[in-house]
Amino acid sequence: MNAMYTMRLPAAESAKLTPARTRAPLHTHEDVVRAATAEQDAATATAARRQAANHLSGFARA
Amino acid sequence: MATHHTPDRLQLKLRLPAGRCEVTTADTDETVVEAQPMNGSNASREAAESIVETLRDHPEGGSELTVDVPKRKLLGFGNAQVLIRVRGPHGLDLDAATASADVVLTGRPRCADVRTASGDVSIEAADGAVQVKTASGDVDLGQMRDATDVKTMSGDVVVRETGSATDVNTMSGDVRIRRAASGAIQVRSMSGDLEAAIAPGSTLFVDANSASGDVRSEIPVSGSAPSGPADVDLRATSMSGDIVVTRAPAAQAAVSQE
Repeated sequence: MNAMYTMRLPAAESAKLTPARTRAPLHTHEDVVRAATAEQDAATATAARRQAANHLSGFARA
Repeated sequence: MATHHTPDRLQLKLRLPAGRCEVTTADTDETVVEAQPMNGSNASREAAESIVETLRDHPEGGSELTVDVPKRKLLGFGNAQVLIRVRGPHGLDLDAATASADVVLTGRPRCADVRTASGDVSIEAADGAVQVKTASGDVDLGQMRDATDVKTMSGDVVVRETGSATDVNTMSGDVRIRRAASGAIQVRSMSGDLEAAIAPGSTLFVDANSASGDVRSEIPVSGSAPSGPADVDLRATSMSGDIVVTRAPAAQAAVSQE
């Protein structure tokens, strides 16, 4: 019986028994999010659209 | 075979479920209609014999000839397939509606309005407006001298020459405009590829967008506008289809010069 109680678990199994941290430490400087301005939103959306779409616009002579 | 005297403007209405319609125009003031079964089945023979031709005055002048092969739902014609050949005067207007029957129009008609489910549509040339709607039928248009409007789900569309406004919408069908000399051209597809070839010497404004397909031009495109409006105003939009702008090979005669 003593041998059973003194048996050491492998590290991987031991890690499973460690209580998971349910709350990360609060860092207030990371939790403050600066709201983007409307101009920044529009510019970001336009840039994303341009990246997503293949676009060709202009003049030519055949 | 029946012959109708149609010296003035003729509106030709064709209604055929399955088979093939061949309409050609000539320098004549008579319209000859011929119907024959396309195979040896009794259903085709009976369908060909059931053809109804009605000639009356058109409200807007001229005459209206209706050629109708009735569709029998209960008894059915089985695999009835009828070939209808019509030879009428130049400048006729065609109004054709079929299910699986192909429609072939040759000569010098004025306008054409053709609707099919799976039937292919081929129009050699037209002086007036052309409208074509199909579900899965392919569309092959020759020299289009006036407004052209094509809508199809999965049919492929080829416009060989256009010198006027052209509007083509497809879901999965590919669109090929082989030679555009002038006019506003709008092509849209969901997954079909779009290709437009511009006649040599024509100026072009292009605005092409594809969400996930490739967009490219074999003609150098710049932001500087030429003096005066562009001959061809090309707007192409696709979700996943590729869009290609090319230069058409020199043709014997441009549509706009005819």
